Amino acid sequence: MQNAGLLEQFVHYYQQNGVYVLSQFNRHFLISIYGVLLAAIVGIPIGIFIAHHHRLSGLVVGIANVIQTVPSLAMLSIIMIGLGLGVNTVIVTVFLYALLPIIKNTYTGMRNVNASVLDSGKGMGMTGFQLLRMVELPLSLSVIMAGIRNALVLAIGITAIGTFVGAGGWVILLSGEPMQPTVGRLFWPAHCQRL
Amino acid sequence: MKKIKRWLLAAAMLVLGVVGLSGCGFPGLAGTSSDTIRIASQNTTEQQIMAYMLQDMIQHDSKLKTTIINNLGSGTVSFNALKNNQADISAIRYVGTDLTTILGEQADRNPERAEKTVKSQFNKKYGMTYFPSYGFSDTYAFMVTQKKAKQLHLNNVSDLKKTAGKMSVGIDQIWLNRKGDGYDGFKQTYGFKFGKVFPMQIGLVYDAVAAGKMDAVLGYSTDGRIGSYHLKLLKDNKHYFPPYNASAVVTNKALKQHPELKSIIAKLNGKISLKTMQKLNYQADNNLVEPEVVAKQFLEQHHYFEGSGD
Repeated sequence: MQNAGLLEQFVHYYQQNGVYVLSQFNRHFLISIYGVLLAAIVGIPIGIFIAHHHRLSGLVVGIANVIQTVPSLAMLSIIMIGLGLGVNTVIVTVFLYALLPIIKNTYTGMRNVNASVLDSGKGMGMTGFQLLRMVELPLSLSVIMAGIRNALVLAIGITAIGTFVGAGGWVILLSGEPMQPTVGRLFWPAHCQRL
Repeated sequence: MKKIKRWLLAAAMLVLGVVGLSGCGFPGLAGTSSDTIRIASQNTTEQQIMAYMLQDMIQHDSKLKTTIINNLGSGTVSFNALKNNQADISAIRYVGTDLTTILGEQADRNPERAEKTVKSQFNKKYGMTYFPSYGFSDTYAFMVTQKKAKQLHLNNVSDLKKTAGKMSVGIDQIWLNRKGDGYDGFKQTYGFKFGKVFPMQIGLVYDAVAAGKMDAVLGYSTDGRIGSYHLKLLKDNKHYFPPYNASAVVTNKALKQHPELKSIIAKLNGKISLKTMQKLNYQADNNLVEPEVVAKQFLEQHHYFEGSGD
């Protein structure tokens, strides 16, 4: 099979392993989604909170910025000390990295709602919660969604490293040994570690 | 003040929700909840095939959830995963390697004694159960092409003695200076040395001997390329290379929680011979079939070994 043409190898590979590749794709996707989802659940309320109390915003965004500066491989190792090998470690890492874009975009979106619109809302007798639900959130939604999308792009990249703590995911197809004769050889000298 | 209280309440509920969610696991992602059997596997083809085989067997025979912690860098990493309760099963452990690296003892040339030592030490020291071997062992082996073997009448390693002085031999880098089962000990045991020795990356030796660049090479006995190049393995007639009998290792804690594991894994005892493992490795290394698919096809062929084992 190794002497077959590249295209032939490619077709053969997907015929044989299509289901497996799809399952790893699914796994990769889910790890990223769960991390971002948790980050959104935590990050959006924080963003709203600091938009209303902007004296806190410098501190909170600062902390999120600091998290972002840690290299992802280092972060993965640090979290591994606490959570061990496996998927949970990767999800938490993705969660931490996804916080910044989500918090920051929520904050920016909320702050940029026109003050006169807020005033007219207040003038109509809206309560704080009504104002948030019917004025602020709808007007800042596009910016918040852009933040989540950014976070998701980031997450797919971080999940890729997750294969090194045993979480699986798409990159396993490149880092394991069997693929070494073809594509994998470019990526990982797996043979050195045998036995 | 009331506002702050409300925010605090919301934050507390969030934290609780996140913790609760991670406690019962993420739907669709095996391995996130606490009642899953975690199988540790290294990054070699062989390890991955056996890990998937164990997973398929467990899922076929019981209702337990399983996940594979894949791609670990070495035997020590996967051992530590078991020791630190981050995994329950190590897909393959080799008796010879565990004796020298994990237990830190001298290499033992007596296979039965070595296996006994490792088994009892693992049980006593670490609370892990060494299962009987799958039926194959991975060890260093000298190999030559069939043509050369006929020409020089080679069957055993001792048969190399006459021509050894003129031979160029490709070997594993680490083997040259290895204590216990390295080249120095080899010279003493067999009483001859090779004309020229070329330390090279282990993955290259099979191609080197098949292409005629080397007269003989030292490689791993289970590699799939032995089959694809029709290489002849020379018998280690003086039992110089320590036995790397391959078995599954399970923590006693997992066995206590899920007693059914024992009989499921026992079904694979002695079922995979050296020839079979070579064939399976060949499937993955040469025919571009992923280990997961190789394992599934093999088990389906043998009907998941139903009715065998104890």
